[in-house]
Amino acid sequence: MNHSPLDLSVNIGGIQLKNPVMTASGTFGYGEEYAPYVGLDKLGAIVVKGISLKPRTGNPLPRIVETTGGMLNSIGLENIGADRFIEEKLPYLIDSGATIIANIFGSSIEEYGDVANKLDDIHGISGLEINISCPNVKEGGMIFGTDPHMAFEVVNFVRQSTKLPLIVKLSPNVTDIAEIARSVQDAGADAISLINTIRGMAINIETKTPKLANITGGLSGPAIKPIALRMVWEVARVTEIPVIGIGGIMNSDDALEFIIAGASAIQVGTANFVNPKATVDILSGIEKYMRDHRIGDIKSLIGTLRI
Amino acid sequence: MYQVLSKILFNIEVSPTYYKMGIDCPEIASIAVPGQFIMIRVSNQLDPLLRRPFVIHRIQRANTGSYSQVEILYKIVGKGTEIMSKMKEYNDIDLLGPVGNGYRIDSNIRTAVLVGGGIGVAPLLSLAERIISQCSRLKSLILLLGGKGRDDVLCVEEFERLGVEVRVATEDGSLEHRGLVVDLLLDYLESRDYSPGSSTHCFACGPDTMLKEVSKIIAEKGISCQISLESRMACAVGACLGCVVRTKAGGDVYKKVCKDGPVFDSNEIIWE
Repeated sequence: MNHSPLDLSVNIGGIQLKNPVMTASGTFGYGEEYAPYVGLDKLGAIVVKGISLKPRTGNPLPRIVETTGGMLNSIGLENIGADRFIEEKLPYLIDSGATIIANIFGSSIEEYGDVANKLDDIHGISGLEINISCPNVKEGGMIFGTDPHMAFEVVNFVRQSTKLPLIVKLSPNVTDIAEIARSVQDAGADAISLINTIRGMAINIETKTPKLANITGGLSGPAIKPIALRMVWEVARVTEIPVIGIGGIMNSDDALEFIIAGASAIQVGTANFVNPKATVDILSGIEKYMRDHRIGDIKSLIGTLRI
Repeated sequence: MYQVLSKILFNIEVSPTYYKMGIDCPEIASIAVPGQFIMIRVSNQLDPLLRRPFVIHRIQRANTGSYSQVEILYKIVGKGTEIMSKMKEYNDIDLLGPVGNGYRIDSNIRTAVLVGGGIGVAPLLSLAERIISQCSRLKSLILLLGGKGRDDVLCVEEFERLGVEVRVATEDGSLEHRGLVVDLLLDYLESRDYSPGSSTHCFACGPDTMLKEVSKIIAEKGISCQISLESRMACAVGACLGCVVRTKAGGDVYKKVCKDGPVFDSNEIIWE
């Protein structure tokens, strides 16, 4: 048994994380919701629920439905807006000792810039994750993430609006994920996170109606993991900046697959709903793997896929 | 709120497709109140994936006298409840709870009207027990219970043992009044001389269509009414925003059924 201390720290485009386990935006609220189960300061980072400049009410109901090995959601980016986030949610998170990453989005390039600018000087925020990949809102989100030129424009504009490290969260609903990844890297992104949810739908055969009010939604959970893993691998091969793997990670084996594929960190999403302690369980699983395989530094495992 | 691995004490069919499960979980039972619910992970596998919400049916004392057991009442409606119906006593079950805000019981209640539709009767038994033990001025406790047929009318004996007056409506007429439970409510409110806004309280749980009607009827009479809502939910901690309901708070605002509810004042809800 090797008892020498393990080094789990990773640096994500200038954000120093004590370990590679983060939470995925929209699945962990503002951190406080999961504090009874998880020491928030134990995680690599908390990525908070997506924030827009003004509050948004979100989509009509029903908003979620379970599918085989996953779930569809069409929440529609309901959130309390940047001002209330700063006043009501941020102080608790800062006190918890967590490393905080604010996920932001807008319905126009200017709004992306405005919310980034608003959070720029706020104490306690270590970085921004730009959502250009929400499949559930018409006027924003994914439109910016499915066209390399649009993706470049929005990231470039946000880059000029903030000094904070920028993570860009990509949509899987594209033909060539590597092309989008290169675009956002060229536009000044410090890191890339992927994947957001995959557009899907479910139908009630008795009523012949969609199971979601929004008709389609975003698929998450273990069902999407192989797709996510493939995309992380494709992106990590062609970019210089760190990649964060997201998509159906339920346990430490899943997380390790993403790291071996090239992810410097991972985000846990739907698994939080099933097991509120999923993040810390995954963290201890990674530590056990490192001990079992005599890996002292997690960084030495990143992108070690043998082909 | 706790996440615990607890022992199943019993899991029995009480009526075709309806089951009652008793669980030994002192952490949850000792702090739970009527109207709160628990989230059950029905399988260690990845399908079905999400936890299922079940309102607490009874909060029971063990021989030691302290609250240590909860019971749930459930109907097989899909894959998750099908798996649950086959669970055996002494097996472990993964719970999260107690979740949400339960019914608020005003100790000055003189008359309490409970309205249940189908499986919506589930939280009303523990509520009746608490009302009886907490409201010293209670004069009248009545349960109006509806179901599609006689098999959907549950727990009548348990309520009667508590001294609750039970009136039943079935849509197919197989038991007592043929019709809807709201007929019974209208009838009750017609025939009784109650003083509006005084110490009469209504508590309801059932399908949305029933709750909507009950809320409308009650609003006209000026009686306070608390309703327990059901919703699809994923996290149960207020993070995913999947279970929200439209409310009049601040105009038109979504509230979370899991965290702000599941019990709401009936006049708070904006019905679709």
